[in-house]
Amino acid sequence: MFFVPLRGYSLGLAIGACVVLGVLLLFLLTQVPHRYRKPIIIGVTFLFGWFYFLEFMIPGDRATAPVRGILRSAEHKLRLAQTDLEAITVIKGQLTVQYVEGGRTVKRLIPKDELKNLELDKGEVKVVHEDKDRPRLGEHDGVRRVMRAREIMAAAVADLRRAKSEIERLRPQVQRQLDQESKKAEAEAKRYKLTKEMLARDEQGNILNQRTKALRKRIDDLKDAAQKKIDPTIATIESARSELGNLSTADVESIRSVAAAKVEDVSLARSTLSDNFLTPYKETASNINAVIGSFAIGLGVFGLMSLHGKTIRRRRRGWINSLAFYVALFAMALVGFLQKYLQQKSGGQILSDALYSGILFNGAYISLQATMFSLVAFYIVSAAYRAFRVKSREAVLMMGAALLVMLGLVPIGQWMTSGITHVGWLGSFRLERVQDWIMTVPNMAAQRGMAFGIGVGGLAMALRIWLSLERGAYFDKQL
Amino acid sequence: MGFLTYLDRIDRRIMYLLLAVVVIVPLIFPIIRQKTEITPEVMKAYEAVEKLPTKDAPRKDYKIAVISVFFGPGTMAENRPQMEALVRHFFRRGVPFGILPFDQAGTTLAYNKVDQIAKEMNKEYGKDWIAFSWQPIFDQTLQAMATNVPRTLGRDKRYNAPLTDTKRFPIMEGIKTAGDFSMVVEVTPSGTVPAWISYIGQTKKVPIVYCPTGVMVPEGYNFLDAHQIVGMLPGLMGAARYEAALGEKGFATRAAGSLSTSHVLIIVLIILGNIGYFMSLRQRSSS
Repeated sequence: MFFVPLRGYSLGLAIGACVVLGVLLLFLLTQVPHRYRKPIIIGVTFLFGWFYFLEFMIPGDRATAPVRGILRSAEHKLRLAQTDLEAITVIKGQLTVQYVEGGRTVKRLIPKDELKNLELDKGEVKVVHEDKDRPRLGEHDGVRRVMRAREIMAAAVADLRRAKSEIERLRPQVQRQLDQESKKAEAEAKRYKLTKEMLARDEQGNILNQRTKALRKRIDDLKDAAQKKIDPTIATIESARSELGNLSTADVESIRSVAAAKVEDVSLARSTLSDNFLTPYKETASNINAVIGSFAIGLGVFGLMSLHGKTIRRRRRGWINSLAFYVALFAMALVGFLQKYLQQKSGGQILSDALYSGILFNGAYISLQATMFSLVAFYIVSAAYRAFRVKSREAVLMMGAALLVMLGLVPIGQWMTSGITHVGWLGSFRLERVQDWIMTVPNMAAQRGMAFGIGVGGLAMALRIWLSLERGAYFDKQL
Repeated sequence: MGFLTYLDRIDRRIMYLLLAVVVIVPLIFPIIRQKTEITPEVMKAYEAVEKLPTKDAPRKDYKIAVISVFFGPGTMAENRPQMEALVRHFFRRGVPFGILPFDQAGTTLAYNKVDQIAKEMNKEYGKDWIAFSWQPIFDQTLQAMATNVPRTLGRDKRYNAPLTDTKRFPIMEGIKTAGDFSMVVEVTPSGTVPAWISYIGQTKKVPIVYCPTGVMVPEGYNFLDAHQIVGMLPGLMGAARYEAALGEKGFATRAAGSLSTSHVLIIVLIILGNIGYFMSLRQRSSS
């Protein structure tokens, strides 16, 4: 058993011991003969990789298996109902609107989603009539499909009820397990004479260890699955079923989207009950990852200090900038620590705010960063002027697209085509629509192509690094 | 001919000066007032926020929205108006939310702005909104939030008090995992949204609104098309469009004038550069 103090001086000692241990391990690694280093590092990396892979692949525990099975069946049925509803043709909603333009009243039929823009365009717009989305029954065997979807939904609801009763049966069992584990943990705490600093407890005073935490999580998951996922799903699907029964008012598209959302809820409930014996250790593995990552910050600061230190020592060109680095580093760190101390003194808050927030943070750091980035705007203008020369057909295409996107994005471009109506095919020639088309069709196609390419390339590169085929990877030579 | 060939090599100091003028003048004197059209991706974001549960929602439906702050002073001009527009909408509808900073400088920038808006709109800290403490590690925080939010985020920014103190922070009542988020708004200058999609959006079925800077916008359309995000505020113009949807005129609407003039300047310079280029070509071929 391994106990870690949670607070007090003993925690500081433990952290110090861990740092020493880490340094010692790194030192030992440097002493290992070159031919063994690579396999050791690859082995450790693979171990981590395998942990996450196995945690993902191994199914959940046996106790919750029946619930997961029933939920899977309900999910499948809801998906079938969703497919049936999807096959029914839905007439898109349209609005008949009325507004005053140039002193006369205009009546027009527009798509529902154009209303907001028209209101902005014309001011007050009155909706005279709304065509609701309706199933066009008879098409694609509409009536039969609706009826079948209702039957399948009823079966799914029955499954969900069964899953809920199974959860209700399981919860007391897990609670009993938790009580036993808590008692066992108390007995161990007594046997090993663990102090308060070494034990984490919940609000009820029960000891929190890996096992009790996992059991508490399972109880919460079961409760959430029953109350937050299954109960609302049953209510929603029942109401959707009754809506579908009344075919004249049924809004098939919205019922289909409700069914789709509920399928996801059921799937989520199932996945939360899929914890296996490795899951409780996932947090620990993430913590180890975070600690290793944090070492990089220390290494970065060390690297910068050593580089700038050398520049100052040898009075190289620009050594004054290196000195500025040291001054900034120590000033910020010192005032940062001082701030904590000053806050406890009377009047110290004002001084610390003036020093830290006023001068160093807002006055220097934020202003410098904003200035650095704003310079980019000037370089972009200069670069665009020099780069966009029409030297080939491709360059013409690129420049044309760039100009349309630039104009379509800003109000002045939108104003240029504001005379064209929003509605109908002519509306597609408005600059903001052209811009939207360029971004959502050719741009997206190109982006996806690149993403696939980068993905495959990245995978190949990762494998090369992982298997140490890259030169100098994983302490191959440098260490 | 001399002037026309000069257009091929305009002194960049002149370009810098022109840019400074066309950006600063419309910001100080808002002379350019064009109507801002609301594009579909902004409208989708607006509609998604309209559907969120409010703080008065029944206990079982209660959730909070999270605004992830990844921006710093460098992109504050683009990202902060996006955040501001969404914060105003949340406050107006009574949607409880928390700001979750991942950028150290952005922590203060976002907190001060939201605090200012909250005071304007008479909203209470801890009840209507909360500021989480700065989180230095991104991926691991998202992974850990999937299982335990209060423990992962630890303390709040204002009082440095634990988030489990629900008497002080009633907004956190019942918030356990990332599944209790009603929405995630990612305000970022970097490509961080895929991590939100993988760890929270897809696994916990939390809708995501993406607020990237202008240069990151083209990537965002992929996620929008795949329904991995529910809406997007593309750059500063996205914020201006959102303000138009809200019926408000904030900084973004004012800055849209500067964007217009600077874009026109770039276009004019490109055209002039090409005229100069062709004239130089002709001169070279004739000599």
